[in-house]
Amino acid sequence: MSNPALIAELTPLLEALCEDRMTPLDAARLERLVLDSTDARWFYLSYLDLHGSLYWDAAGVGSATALSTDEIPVHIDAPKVDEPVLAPASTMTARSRRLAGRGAALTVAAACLCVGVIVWFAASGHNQDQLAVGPARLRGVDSLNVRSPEGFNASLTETRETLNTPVVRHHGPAVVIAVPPVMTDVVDDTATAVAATVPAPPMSPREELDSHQVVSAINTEVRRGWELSEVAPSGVADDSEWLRRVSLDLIGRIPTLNEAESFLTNHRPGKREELVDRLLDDGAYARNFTTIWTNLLVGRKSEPRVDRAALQKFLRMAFAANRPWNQIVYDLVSAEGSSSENGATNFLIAHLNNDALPATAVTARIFLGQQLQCNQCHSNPFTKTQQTAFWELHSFFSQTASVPRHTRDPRTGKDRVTHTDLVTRDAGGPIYFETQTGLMRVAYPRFNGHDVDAGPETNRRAALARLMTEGDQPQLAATFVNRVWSHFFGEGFTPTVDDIGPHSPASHPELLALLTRQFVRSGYDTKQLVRWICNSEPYQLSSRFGDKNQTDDPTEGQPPQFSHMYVKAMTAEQMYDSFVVATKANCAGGVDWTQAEAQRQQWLSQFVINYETDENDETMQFGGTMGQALSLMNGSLVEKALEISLGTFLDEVVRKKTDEKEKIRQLCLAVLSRQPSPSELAAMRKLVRDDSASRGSKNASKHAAGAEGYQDLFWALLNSNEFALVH
Amino acid sequence: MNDAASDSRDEAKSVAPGTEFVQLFTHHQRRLFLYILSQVSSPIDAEEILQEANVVIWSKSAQFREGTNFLAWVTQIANFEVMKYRARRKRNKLYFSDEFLETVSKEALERSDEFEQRRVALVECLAKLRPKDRDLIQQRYAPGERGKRLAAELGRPANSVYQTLGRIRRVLMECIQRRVAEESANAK
Repeated sequence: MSNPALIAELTPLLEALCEDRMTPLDAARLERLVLDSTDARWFYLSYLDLHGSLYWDAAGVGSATALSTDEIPVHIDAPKVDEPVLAPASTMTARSRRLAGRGAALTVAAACLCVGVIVWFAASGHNQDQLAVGPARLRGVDSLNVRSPEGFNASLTETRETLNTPVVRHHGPAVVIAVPPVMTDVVDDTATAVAATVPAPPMSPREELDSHQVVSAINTEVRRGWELSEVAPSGVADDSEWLRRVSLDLIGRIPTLNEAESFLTNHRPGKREELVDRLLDDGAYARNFTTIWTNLLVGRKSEPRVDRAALQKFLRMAFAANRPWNQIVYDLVSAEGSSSENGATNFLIAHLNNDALPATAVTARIFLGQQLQCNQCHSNPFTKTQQTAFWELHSFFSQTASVPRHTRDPRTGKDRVTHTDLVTRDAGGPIYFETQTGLMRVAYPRFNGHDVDAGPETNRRAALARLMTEGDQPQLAATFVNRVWSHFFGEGFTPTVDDIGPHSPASHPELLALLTRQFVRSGYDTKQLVRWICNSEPYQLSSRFGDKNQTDDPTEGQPPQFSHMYVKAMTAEQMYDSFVVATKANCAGGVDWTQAEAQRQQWLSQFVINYETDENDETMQFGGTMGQALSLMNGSLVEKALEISLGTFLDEVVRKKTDEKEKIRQLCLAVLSRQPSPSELAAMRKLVRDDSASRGSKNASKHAAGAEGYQDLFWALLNSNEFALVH
Repeated sequence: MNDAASDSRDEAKSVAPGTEFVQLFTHHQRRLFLYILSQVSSPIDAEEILQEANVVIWSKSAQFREGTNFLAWVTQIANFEVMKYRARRKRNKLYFSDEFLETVSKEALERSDEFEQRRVALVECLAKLRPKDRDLIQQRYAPGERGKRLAAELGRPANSVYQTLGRIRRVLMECIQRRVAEESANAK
């Protein structure tokens, strides 16, 4: 086959064919070419052979021997249960599930997903050298009875040391952290523990850097990325842009007029660092992080059993006191008791539906950056986590139940649910699950290579909480670091913020490892982490593209280089709170805090649609545009915002004995946190006057604006993109 | 055994296939899949057709004469299943004519040995891909993946993902071509 012109014509046609995007015209052309020449026919067959081989070897339809490989380890110190094998009834269920589920699920294929991939890896040989060296064969860690604290600690140290020797490999500019316990021989090592597949950043050197050193290390790593990807950073954001950004990121709202004025007129060096410290000590920081984490932990629209206010109180106190992140997680995972008294219980109460399957999926995803939900039904060929991993984690939740408590209402004589108790039952033994081939399997509580006694006297959740949070937990830390970084930059180091692992290479693996290490060293100090990020060089940059960083655009599929600030849409909460700060709409008529909060919740709830999946997914129907927000905003609130009546911001401005320019300047500063440019100011003055005149404002003339003019200007500013975005 | 097959069809069905049949069956699964794929171009559809064909092949196992060309026998069955698939899809888009499929499938069967060589080359060529490219290819060819969702999952524009996939396949085609040419040069 040596006809370059023919190949050049065939190739795009075949590419389109393989991706199912061929037009009838293309098809006719391809058919003609193939029928007319032997060369073309052979090229066609070769190309489709490649297409098919890639699929066959990756998806592993072929090997019938794969059926026997999904073995599960039997645990030594747990009561052994013989595995029920191939019950006919379960085969039926498996079959109907297959038929109902993925169209292409196959009798043989389904069982072999992972094995095909092993064949792929083994055959291609590319991963062998890389993976075989992984030092941490966590299976080697002795099984352990967690009831004794000494035993626990000893064994944890052991694991830590194995984790301390990661493998860092360089692939050209992009560096991939190869994770120690990736399986080379999945066949006999199916039970790779949940935690083991996440990058274990190097835990030595052990010294803790001071704050300045960490910041400069961040700068060095990010700059190195700029050099490698040949971009130059944008300029530093001016004070207005930066103030607005840091306020939205830290306290969840734009700065007030006073805050903006005092920051912009302050010319001391170091004022940015000072502001970060001040905002971190502001109650609004705790409130903002509480909002973020409440949404992550129980969703925006959680089920009625969840006492949202109690969870918020727990989180607010935790963030305000800057409790270490690992302790917060410990409390959330191990919580027991009343939903109203122990707010931490509400995380699990929210996820005990569907046999507590969401509890497992959400715990793995939110805290450990692992997307295990697919493993519920099958092993995942790309993350190389086994189906067993899901069920082993799941078995930690098998004793957990939520019990609604009633009291009799003395007036009506009816029972009323007052709260829900999260309880641990004395139940032991394994849990059962079904493989894709319909085999029944058992799973015992096992996390990160540690077996936990499966007897009824073990509190499995407490054991899990300890295994997840005690000592150095690179995985827990990396997941949190990545999420916090992504909160501030709009992009995490990995394409999906809570999916971290060798299958999802980080844009800055060394930086993620460094921050993870320092975060652990700092004692999981959240505020410290935030300080490092907010004081770093990339966080100071403008959101405008420069001349030499047009390519740094993660929306185009490039890994982020943080050479300018990525623009974020406001969340619904940020939008609401900023709107309220700018307009003081909530002060109109003087409502109290409870009423204001109820209004806020009511407004927010309109955007959420809850999916009843095993992961308790929900969608925020909020695109972050102001038009959308305003049109949905409860009518009276918008009305109040634009009212010129006692208490609103607009009223204050209009009544103040200041001149027209100053009034416009204040409106602009309140909404956009910046001064209008001279040309903007001129345009706004014209708008304000023309509007007043056309609306027949009482006191308006060609030279002085009336209240209606300011109303329109204010409305226009609130509708601008500049208001609706975090930049 | 032959007697049993000819005497009663029902009885023939119940005869368990012999060891040799099972071996041939297993051995030719991949080839048969690729044969079907050359006619339908979607791996997922090809897989479905393969399964339909497998059921028929299995139920007709007694009709296979040992010592005859197994691949020729199963491809006939597969051809029939492809026809059924095309009839089902009539209303949806079908790219090619029956004449085209006939020509292509005939050639595919005749030259089936040549593909084995390419398979070995592919393994080596995959190993030489840049890790990033290899990852993308793995994701594209994950079980059940039709490629359409991939762009969304990666958060990249669909076009750029298709272009990258096309490029990687081009690299692989060229690499395989080179290897096969080297092999045959060495053999001489």
